[in-house]
Amino acid sequence: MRTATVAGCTLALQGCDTMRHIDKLARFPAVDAEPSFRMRVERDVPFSCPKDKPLFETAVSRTFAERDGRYTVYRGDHKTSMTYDASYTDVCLRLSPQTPYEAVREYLAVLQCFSYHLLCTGGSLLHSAGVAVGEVGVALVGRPQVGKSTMAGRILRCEPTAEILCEDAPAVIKRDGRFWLCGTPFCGDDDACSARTVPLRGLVILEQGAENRVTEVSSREAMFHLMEAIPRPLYDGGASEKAVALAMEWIDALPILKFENDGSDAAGELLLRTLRSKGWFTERTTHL
Amino acid sequence: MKLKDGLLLRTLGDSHVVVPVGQAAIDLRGMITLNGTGAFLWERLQTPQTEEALVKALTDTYAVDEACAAADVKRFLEILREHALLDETEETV
Repeated sequence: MRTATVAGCTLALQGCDTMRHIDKLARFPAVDAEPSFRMRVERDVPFSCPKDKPLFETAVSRTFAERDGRYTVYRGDHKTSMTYDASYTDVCLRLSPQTPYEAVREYLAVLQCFSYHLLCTGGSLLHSAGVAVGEVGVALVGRPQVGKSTMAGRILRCEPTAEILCEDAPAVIKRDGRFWLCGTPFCGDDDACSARTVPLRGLVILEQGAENRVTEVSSREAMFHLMEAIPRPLYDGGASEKAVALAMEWIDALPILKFENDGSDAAGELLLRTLRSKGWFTERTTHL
Repeated sequence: MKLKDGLLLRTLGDSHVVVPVGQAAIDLRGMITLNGTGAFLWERLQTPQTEEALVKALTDTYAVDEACAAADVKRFLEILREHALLDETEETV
């Protein structure tokens, strides 16, 4: 089975366009080891929705009772189901013949399930632009369309040692009591990701503004943005609670700044200058 | 009355925030910020309470007169109702 190493995990994805995408990137090495996260997509699988014991019902999904240590979630249209074990190490996405196959549906399922798998081990994907500057990494967090990729591009233009780790969803993991920022293949642009892992120096919350200005951010504001940025399956309350605990840990352990900016080159220069003056870019890289 | 399920109260330094999880995260986008008194009332509302019991809890804990506490509790409950955060079914009354 083809595997890939992402954020310290061994992924095995069967029947997935996402795996073909990772193969194409050829940056995430295969290893000869038991996968720590296994996901398969089964298409054109006729199945019926069991009627017994619904746990709860949401606008987007119906969750049914645990059976033999596994859980099955049915989408609202009942044409897609996902089965997973308690720690999301083994996930099966089943698409019925009536389900129009969409690569994006599969991609989102992989993203959410892999993020949950990382949550179970004290890490997560983070909807952000992850940038390595020299030896350390910084994650640019913000709402969609706020200019995360733009700001990452500005940093690259101003700083020759800068490299994009992932433009959309890098991973943050914890090893040896430290946080690390990992490139992942979960990005919109093939050129905007790397398999590098660097120490995470801090988080910058981006907001659009008429003026360029870096300020401290309150814990509650940081929490708001982080909860928006940690991908998780909404139908699993346990995932959200894990995300809350993780966000609190990050807020406690990492410097977090807010950067209101106009997206200009000058904004990129100001951000770099400010982060240097705060001593963010002084550590040496260690590869995991 | 009591709070609906899936609303986690967490303390971050001096701040108290409520984060919706599970179904509540679909119903309520964003988060709620509470001051110390709000967090105090929120904790009590994890179990069924009457308005009078909340007023008494406030006057027992804080140096506040009953009229002021009653007005504060009334306003707090109004805000919770505005955002559909209270479960006021028969079992919780």
